[in-house]
Amino acid sequence: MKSLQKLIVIILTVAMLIVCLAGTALAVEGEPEGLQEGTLIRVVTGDDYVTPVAFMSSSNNWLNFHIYDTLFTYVDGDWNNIRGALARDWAWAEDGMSIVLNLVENATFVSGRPVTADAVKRCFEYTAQYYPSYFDKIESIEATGDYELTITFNAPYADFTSKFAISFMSIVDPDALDEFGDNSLEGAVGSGPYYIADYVSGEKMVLKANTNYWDPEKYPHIETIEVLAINDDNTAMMSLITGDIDYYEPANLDQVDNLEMYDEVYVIDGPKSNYCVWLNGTSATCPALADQRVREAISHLINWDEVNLIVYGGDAETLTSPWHKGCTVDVDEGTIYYDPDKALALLEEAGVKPEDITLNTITAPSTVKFDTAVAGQLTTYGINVNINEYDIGGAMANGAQGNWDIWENGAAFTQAAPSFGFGTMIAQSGAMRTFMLDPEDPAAIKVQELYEQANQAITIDEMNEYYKQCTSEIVKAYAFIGGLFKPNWGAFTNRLQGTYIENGYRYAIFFDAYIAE
Amino acid sequence: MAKYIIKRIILMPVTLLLAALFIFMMVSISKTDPVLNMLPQEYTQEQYDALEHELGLDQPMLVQYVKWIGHAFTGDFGTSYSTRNSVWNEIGFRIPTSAVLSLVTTVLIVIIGTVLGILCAVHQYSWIDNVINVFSKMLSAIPNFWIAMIFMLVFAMKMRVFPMFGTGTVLHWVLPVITLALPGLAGHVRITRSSMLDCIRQDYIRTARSKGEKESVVIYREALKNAMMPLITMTGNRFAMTIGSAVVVERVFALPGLGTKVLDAINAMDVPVILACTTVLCAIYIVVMLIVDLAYMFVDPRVKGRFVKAKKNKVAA
Amino acid sequence: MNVQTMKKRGQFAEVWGRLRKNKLAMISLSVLLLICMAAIFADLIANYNNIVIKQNGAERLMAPCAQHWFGTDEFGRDIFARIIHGARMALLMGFGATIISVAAGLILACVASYFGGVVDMVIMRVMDVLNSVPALVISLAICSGLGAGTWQLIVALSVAGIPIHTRMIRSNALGVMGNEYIEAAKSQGASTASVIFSHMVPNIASIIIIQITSTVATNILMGATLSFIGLGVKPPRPEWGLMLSSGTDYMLKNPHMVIFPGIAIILTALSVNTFGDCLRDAFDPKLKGKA
Repeated sequence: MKSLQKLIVIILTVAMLIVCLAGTALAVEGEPEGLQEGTLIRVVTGDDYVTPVAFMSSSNNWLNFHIYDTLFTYVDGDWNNIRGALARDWAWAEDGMSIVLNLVENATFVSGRPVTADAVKRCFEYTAQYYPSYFDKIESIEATGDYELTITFNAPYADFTSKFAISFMSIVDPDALDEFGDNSLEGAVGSGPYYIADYVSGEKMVLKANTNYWDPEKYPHIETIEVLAINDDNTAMMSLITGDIDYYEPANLDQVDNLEMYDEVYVIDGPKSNYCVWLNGTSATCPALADQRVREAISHLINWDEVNLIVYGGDAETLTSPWHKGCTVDVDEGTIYYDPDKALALLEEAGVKPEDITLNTITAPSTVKFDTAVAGQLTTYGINVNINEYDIGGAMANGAQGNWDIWENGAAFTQAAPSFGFGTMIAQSGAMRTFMLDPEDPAAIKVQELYEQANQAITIDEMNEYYKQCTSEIVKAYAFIGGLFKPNWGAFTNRLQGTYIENGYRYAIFFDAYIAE
Repeated sequence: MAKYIIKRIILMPVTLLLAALFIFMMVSISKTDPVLNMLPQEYTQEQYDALEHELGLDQPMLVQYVKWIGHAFTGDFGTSYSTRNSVWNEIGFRIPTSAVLSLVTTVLIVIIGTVLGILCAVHQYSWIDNVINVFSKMLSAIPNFWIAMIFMLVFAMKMRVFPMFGTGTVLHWVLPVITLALPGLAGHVRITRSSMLDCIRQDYIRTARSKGEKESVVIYREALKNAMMPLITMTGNRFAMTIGSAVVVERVFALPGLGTKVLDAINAMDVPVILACTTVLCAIYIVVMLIVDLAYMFVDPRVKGRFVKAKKNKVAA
Repeated sequence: MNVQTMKKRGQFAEVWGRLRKNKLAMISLSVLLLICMAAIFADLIANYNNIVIKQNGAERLMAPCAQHWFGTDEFGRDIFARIIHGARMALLMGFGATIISVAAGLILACVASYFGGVVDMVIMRVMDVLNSVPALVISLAICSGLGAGTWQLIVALSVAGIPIHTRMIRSNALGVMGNEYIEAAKSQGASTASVIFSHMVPNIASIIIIQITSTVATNILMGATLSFIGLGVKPPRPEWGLMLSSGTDYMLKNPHMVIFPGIAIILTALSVNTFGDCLRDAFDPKLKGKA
C-alpha cells in the first residue's frame, strides 16, 4: 500500500509541475498563435483609402498589399531581390522571350474559388486596361495547365519579375470582376490575408482576417482592422494620444516630437523615401526653362540643408541622384550644390532676370510643407512661385499631364529599381516623355536612345547599365534639380505590437501585428 | 391664409432651382478639367472626346444644368468623379448628420439665448446683464474653429471626458454642438436683449403695469409676444450661419457629414459631389426658412389680421 | 446745399459728440485705428520679402524673446511681422469686401426702390435666391469655381454679403421714397442720379454705417475660417486664419503659434463689434439709459 501511495504522490507532483510549467510558458507575452479577437483602428488623413477602389488604384498600396497577393514579391524591400509569392517558381527561356510560371496550388480567393492559372490570365486582362505600359512587351498569356502559366514577350522583358511584384499587379478574382465590375468594392475580391468586410464611403473601411489564407508567413493575427479617414492632422495626433485610434503616419517631425512626449504611444522610424524635384523644360507657361543654364541656376539657388532643417529638423539627406539611395543606379554627377552667386551669374548669362521667372508647382496635402520650403528658397532671390494645391489623385493627374514648371515627385522614383521610374514616366505620351526635356535637346535625344537600348536588354544588369547612363544625362541636363531623402514615421499606441514598416512600401504591415493587453 | 401657405410652398422649389443654378454657374467657371483627371496616364484624343461626351461636358452650360436638374428630381445626382460611385451613395447617409447637428444647435441657441436675453433685459445693467454681455461680446469675436481646437485640446485630450471624433454615442455630439452653438448663442442673446428692451419701453407696457398687472405677466405675455417677431426672423438667419459654421466643426471633429464631404470634393474638384452637397444644404435651409416664415405669420398679429380680416369680408359678402 | 443735407451734417456732429463721451467707443476706435496703422505701415515695420516670408531653418519654433517678440513659426519666420502684415489682409477682407457689398447693395437697392415695378421685383427675387444660400456655401461655391487666393476670397465674401445689404437698404430707402422732398425734387426736373445720390443716400447713411461695422466683423471671421480650411489666402502669404491652421500642428509644444494669431483675430473682431454697438447707441439716443 505504501509504495502505491508514494507512486500516486509522485505522479501527482510531476503532473502539477508539468501544469505549472506549461502555464508559465503560455503566460509569457509574445506573438499569439492563431486569430485574436479584437479591432484595431488605423487612421489615414485624407480619404484615399476609404473610397471604393478603382481597380487597384496606385494610391491604395496599403490596401492592395493586405487584401491581395501578387505573383512575386521581394526580399527586405529590395526590388532587385525577387522571390515568388503566388508564383511558386518560374523558368525563363534561354532567349528571354518567354517564361513559364508554376503557381501555388492551395491559394483561394475569399469567394472560395481557387487561384488557377486561368484566373490569373483573366485578371490580367483587366489589369492590362489600367496599366497598359506594364503589358506593352507581353505578346500573350496562356494557361498551359491548372496551375501553370506561360507568358511570351515580343521584346526582352528583363525586369518582368520586379515589375509584376508591385502591388497593383495583384491578382483579383476575375469572376468577381465580371459580376460586379472593376470599379466597385464588391469586385475587389482577393486571396490576401484580409478582405473588405464593410465600408462607408469616404469615412471608413473594415477589414476582416481571411482565415483560409494560404501563406503561413503572412497569416493574420488581428481579426478586424478598421481604417478611418480623418482629415485634420491635429485631430489624428490627439486621437492617437488618447487611444481612440491605434496607428497613423505623422506628417512631419514636429508631430513626432509632440508624440514622443507621451508614454502611451511609440514612434518608429520607417525607411526613407525620395522627394525629387523636377523642372519642366517643355513648359509653355515658363519658356525660360528650356534653357539649361536657367535650370542649372534654379538648382543652385536651393539650399537643401536649410530645407532639410525646416521640414525634417535635419533628419533627411540631400539627394544628388533621382533614384533611391543605395539602388544600383544611384548616379551622382556632382551637379547638386548650393551656390547662389554662380546661379545669378548663369541667369545673367542667359539674359533672364529672376523676377521674370514664374514657376507653377503642383502640391498635395502631404507635400505642402516641403514645397513651401523649396518655394521659399527661390522667392528669396526674386523668383515667383505659385503653389497649386490638389488632392493626391489630382496632383498625379496634373503631374502626368505636365501642367507644372517645378514639381516634387517622389512616387515614381522611390523604388530601388529605376525601371519603374523610367517605365511610368518615359513611356507616357505627351508631356512626360524624355523627362520634360525639349525633344530637340541633344540630351533628350541621348536619353531616348539609351532608354530604347535599355528596353531591349536581356538581363537586369544590362538594363540597369543603360539606365545608369540615362540617369547621367538627365542629371547633367538639370531636369532633376535635387531633393531630399526624407524620413517616414509610424506612430502606434502601446497596445499595437509587432508591426513593422515595410521597406518597399514605407507603411506599417499588419500581418505580424497583434494586440498586446 | 391657405393660399399664402400654398404660394410659399410652391415658391420653395423655384428658389431652390435658382439657387442651384447660381451654384452651377459658379462651379462651371472653374478652370480644372475633370476629364483629364479621370483619364489613365496614357490617353488618346478619341478617349478624351469619348469621356467628355459620356460625362456630358461637351454641351453648353445651360443644357448641362437642365439635364442635371432633371436627373436630380429622380434622385440621381450623377456619378462622383473621384470614386466613380453614385453621388447619392456618397452623400445620402451624411445628410442626417449635418441636419441633426445644425438643427439641434439652432434649437439650443434659440431656447437658451431667448431665456438669457430676457433675463438680461429684465435685469438691465445688473451684474448678470454685464457678465453675460461681456461673454457675448467675446464669443462673437472668436472664430469657431479656434473654439473647436481649444475644446478638443482641453476636454477631449487633456481631460479625456469626451471622445475625440466621430459619432456614435450622445457623448460624441456634445463637443461639436457646444462649439457650434457658442458664437450663435452670443449673437442671439444680444438680439433678444435689445428686442425685449425695445418692447419693454413701449407705452402699452406702461399701461399694463399701471393697470396693476403682475410684473411677470407683463413681461411674458405682453412684451415677449411682441419681441418674438424679430427673433423668429433672426432664427432663420441664425440657422444659415450655423449651417455654414457646421462645415468647419464637422471637419475638426471628423463627423461624417455634408461639410467634410464638400471640402474634400472641392479639393478634388469633384463637381457632381460639390453640386449635390451645396444644393442639399440649400434645400435644408429653404425648408427650415419656410417653417420659420409660417411660424412668423402665425405669431405676428398684423400679418394674421390681414388674412383673418379678408376671410371675414368674404363671409360678409 | 439744401436743408436736408444741413440736417444730416448736424446729425453727424451730434453723433460724434455722443461717441466722444463714451469711453468704450473711444477705446475700441483707438484699437481699430492702431490696427489700421499697422496695416498701412506694415512695410515700414517689417519688410515683406526679407522678414515676413523669408525662411530661416536655424531659428524655427522659437518662443517669444527679445529678438522675436512673438516667436517664430515652423519656417523660422518672425510671427510679429507676419501678424502685422496679416492685419493688412484682415482689413482688406473685412473692409474691402464689406465696402464692395455695401456699394453694390446701395446701387441695387436705390435702383430697385426708385424705379419700382418690374425692376424692383426682379432685383428682389435675385436677392431672395442669393439669400436662400447660406453665406459660407456661397463662398464655397465661388472658391471652387475661382480657386483659392486673395482676390477670390474677397469676391466670395462680397457676393455673400450683397443680399443682406440690398434688403436692409431697400426697406429703408422705400421709407425715404415717400418723403415729399423727393417728389419736390422730381417735379423740379432733377435727374435720377442726383435724386438718388443727393437725397436718398444721406438719409440712409446712418443705417449703412451701422451695417458696415457688423459686416466687417463677420467678414473677418469668415475670411479667417475660409483660410483655415484652405480655400482662402494661399501660403506663404500671412493671414491670421492660415497661421492658426498651420499652427495647430505645433500647438501642444509651441502654443505661441496659435495664441498670437488668435488674439489678433479676436481683438480685431471685438473692437469692430464694440464700436459698431456704440455707434448704434449713438445714432439712437433712445436706447441709452433706463426705460
